[in-house]
Amino acid sequence: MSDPLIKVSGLKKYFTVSTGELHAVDGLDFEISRGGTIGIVGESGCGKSTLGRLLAMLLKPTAGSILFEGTELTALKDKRQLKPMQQRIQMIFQDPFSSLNPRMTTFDTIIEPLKIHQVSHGAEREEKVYEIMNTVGLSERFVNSYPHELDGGRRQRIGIARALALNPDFIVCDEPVSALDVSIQAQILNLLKTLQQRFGYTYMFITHDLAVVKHISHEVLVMYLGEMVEKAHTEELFKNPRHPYTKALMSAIPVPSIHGKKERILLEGELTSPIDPKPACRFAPRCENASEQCRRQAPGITDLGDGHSVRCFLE
Amino acid sequence: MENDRDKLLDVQDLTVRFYTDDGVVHAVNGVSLSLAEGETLGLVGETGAGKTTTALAILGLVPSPPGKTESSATIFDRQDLRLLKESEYRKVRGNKISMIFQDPMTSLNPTMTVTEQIAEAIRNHRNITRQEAKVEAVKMLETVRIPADRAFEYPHQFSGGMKQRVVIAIALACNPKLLIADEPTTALDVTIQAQVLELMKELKNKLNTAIVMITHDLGIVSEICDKVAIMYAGEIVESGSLEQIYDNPRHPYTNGLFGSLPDIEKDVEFLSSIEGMMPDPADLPVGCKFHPRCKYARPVCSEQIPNNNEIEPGHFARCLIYEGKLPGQEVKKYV
Amino acid sequence: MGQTEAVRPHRKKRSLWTDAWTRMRRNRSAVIGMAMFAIILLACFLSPFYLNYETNVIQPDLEAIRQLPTERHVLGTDELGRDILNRIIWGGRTSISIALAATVFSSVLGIIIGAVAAYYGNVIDSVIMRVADVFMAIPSMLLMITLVSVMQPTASNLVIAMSVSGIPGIARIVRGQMLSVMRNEYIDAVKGMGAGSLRIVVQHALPNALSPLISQIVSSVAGEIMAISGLSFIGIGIQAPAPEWGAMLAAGRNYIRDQPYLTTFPGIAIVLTVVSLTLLGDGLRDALDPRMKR
Repeated sequence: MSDPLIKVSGLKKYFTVSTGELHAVDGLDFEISRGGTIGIVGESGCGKSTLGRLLAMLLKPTAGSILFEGTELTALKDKRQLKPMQQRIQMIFQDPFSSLNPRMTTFDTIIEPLKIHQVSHGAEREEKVYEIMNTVGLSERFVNSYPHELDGGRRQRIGIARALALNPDFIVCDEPVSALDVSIQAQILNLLKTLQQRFGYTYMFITHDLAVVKHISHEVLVMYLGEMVEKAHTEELFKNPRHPYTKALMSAIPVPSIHGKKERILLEGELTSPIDPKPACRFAPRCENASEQCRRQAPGITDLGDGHSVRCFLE
Repeated sequence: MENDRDKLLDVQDLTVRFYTDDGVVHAVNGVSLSLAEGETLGLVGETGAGKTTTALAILGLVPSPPGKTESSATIFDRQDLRLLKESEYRKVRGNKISMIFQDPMTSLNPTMTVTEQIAEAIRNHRNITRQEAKVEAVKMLETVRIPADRAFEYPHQFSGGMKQRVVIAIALACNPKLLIADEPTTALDVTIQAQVLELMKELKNKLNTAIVMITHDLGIVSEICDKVAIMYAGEIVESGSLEQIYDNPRHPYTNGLFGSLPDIEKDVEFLSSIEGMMPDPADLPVGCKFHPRCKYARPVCSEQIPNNNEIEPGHFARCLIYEGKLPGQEVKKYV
Repeated sequence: MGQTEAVRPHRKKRSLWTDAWTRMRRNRSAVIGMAMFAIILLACFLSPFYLNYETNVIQPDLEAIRQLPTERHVLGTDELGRDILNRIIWGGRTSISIALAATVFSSVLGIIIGAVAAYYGNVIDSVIMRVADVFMAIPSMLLMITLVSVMQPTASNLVIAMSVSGIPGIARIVRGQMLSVMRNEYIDAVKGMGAGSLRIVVQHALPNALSPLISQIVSSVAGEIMAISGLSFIGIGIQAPAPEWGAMLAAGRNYIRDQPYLTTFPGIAIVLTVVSLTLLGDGLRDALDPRMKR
């Protein structure tokens, strides 16, 4: 697991808004191991979707670098340099409705990437579409269907099929199961896991659901207002969460069991947005352990060893 | 079970159908539920199970046409709701029964301050002056932990969690006996959801309001409910007390639901998902409505409609296994 | 291989247009509108086969001035003794072709301009939209009158004038539709795959932005017909002796007390055409939305 496919350093994305500069992603450093899954967890507005879009090359970062097998993605300029990388990086979207063109049939949607990258042709290309449909468990009888004729689970399978068509190395999954019903969610999670085992994909799995992230990720990065607050191997993080925000997040999940209910850490207040943040701990206003130092100074990242790091003065 | 006298809400055999150009949509098929004062019922199911329609039918809000609501009894607070005229029904709604919806933004008026909106709800049902109503409204806001200095702000100045708390304040403004909450925390972030749930738990104990909690999240149910009813394809397939359902789920669908959830406290390689998907309510399967997705299904399941079998006192499951029709079959608890 | 071939569903080229057509046939008002407009079109455009422009349409017959409807002149005759029905038919041919041509030109240019503004955004967008705002600030009738007066009142100049005044409106709608379509994740999906701008706009964004526009365009033909009639009514549209509905209204206006049919029949022609196009436009709007299934 020490063979990084992607190495992100000092990654920043700022948006100019009417009231100042929004620090959506504010200086992230991490690596993603080949064939592994990194889970990105956080609440709405923490910058996790922006991060996904940066890695999928849908957004240009304000600063920082994304090294993909030695290729600097942020330095790619024209189409000729971009295209081979776009083939290797794909994205699965959250909303299985808006992520599919309502005027295209299943077949047209899945063949689109093959057309764009001129992968094979004619009957062979069509055969490939059917092959991918089988891989993601879509019955061939839906080949002529439009998205509005299918349910959420099948639509999401089309979105996955489209992402797999080019046989990528790395797939950004942006909340791919949040919009689905529980029983369908389990089907899709199982599918993503099976595909990883079969084809060795590397995933970045963005979600707000800690239970889902625990189930699917090897490593987890917790984000708060554009910053990483904690990162560790999944097992370690859930066994030994160190940041007060991670702890609160974990205790906030309603567990579907009636035994051994834990005492809940209730956070006061709500997420603000990181517009021109002051040099202080961004979590301090909601943190019950916050000291004077936390309000005056921004904490750095402490390495606790074995891949566990945390951004908090208490460590 | 409780005495008939104690029942606040008693619905028997509720059926809702929608007559459309594409055929008859069987949204709710013979749902029976009852609730005592101060009790909380979790109505659990996936999209299209008929949870919301059931709630709307109790409130008399199913649009007709195309909808048609029937039941053999709908008693609320010793009053037969089926006999009410629309104007009388309106008095029950909001006065004795309130409803909270998923999206707080659509239920708040953007052009009125939150205090005005709560005061209006109070004045609709109680004969007090505008000034008195405002004082009450500010008190109500404090009950849902919104500080008085924000009482005269507009909804857009509030965050999602605060808006939902305002909605709860409006719903509770006239001290209803029954609160129907339709996915009240689904649109909120986890930490905010925890705040709202905590608040609802506290208010429920304080005000002794009965709650019907509509949700797809079994975690939320375990936090706040006393009784649980699992819905599938317009039917209640299993019902019982919280302990009965969580410790001893007996219907294959309930087990499938639990097995589908990634559990934060357990490690499994693959989730035991339910195959297939929810049937189209305009074209429901014959026999047991769950049989096409059920791993225990036998040919008899597509021929006979299961009864609501009482497995232990107060615990019901709608499955032929409990009628001895599937010899040798036993529903195993999910792993 | 052969086995899977056997069960594989035939991948029919099931276009949205065939689906739309099926849906439209079930929409009563759309069918009525379509039938009405088809009859009007046929009557007008086949007229060269059964009417002679010189003898049936523009030749005065001083013995039959302002006659009431008779067997020979079904809708009566005008102030120069010409058959009103013939003139309505021939006039419709002129009005409808000019309106269609103007609509086609303004739509094509409006779509291109609107799409460019929406896709490139920023400076290009601002410049295009400010220019459009300037044009839209001038009442379109006034703009057309000015343009036609500067040029000659010929049919082609009419088309130019009407196209120019129609472009900003269409460009604005296209831009708005495009912007909302571009927010969909499927646009991000194809962008992320490395699709070129042309493919993104033409394959993905425009088709989804246009369906609400098509009904608008069809209805705008009705507006253009009214515009030609208006221009002709005030004398700067189609010139005499060529017939035109607005010009006929203008000529008959003097006799409205004694021979009201001189104005009534051309008026009815305008109303029927406009109503048929509006019905058709509304029907198309419902039929072209793939999510509308009834």
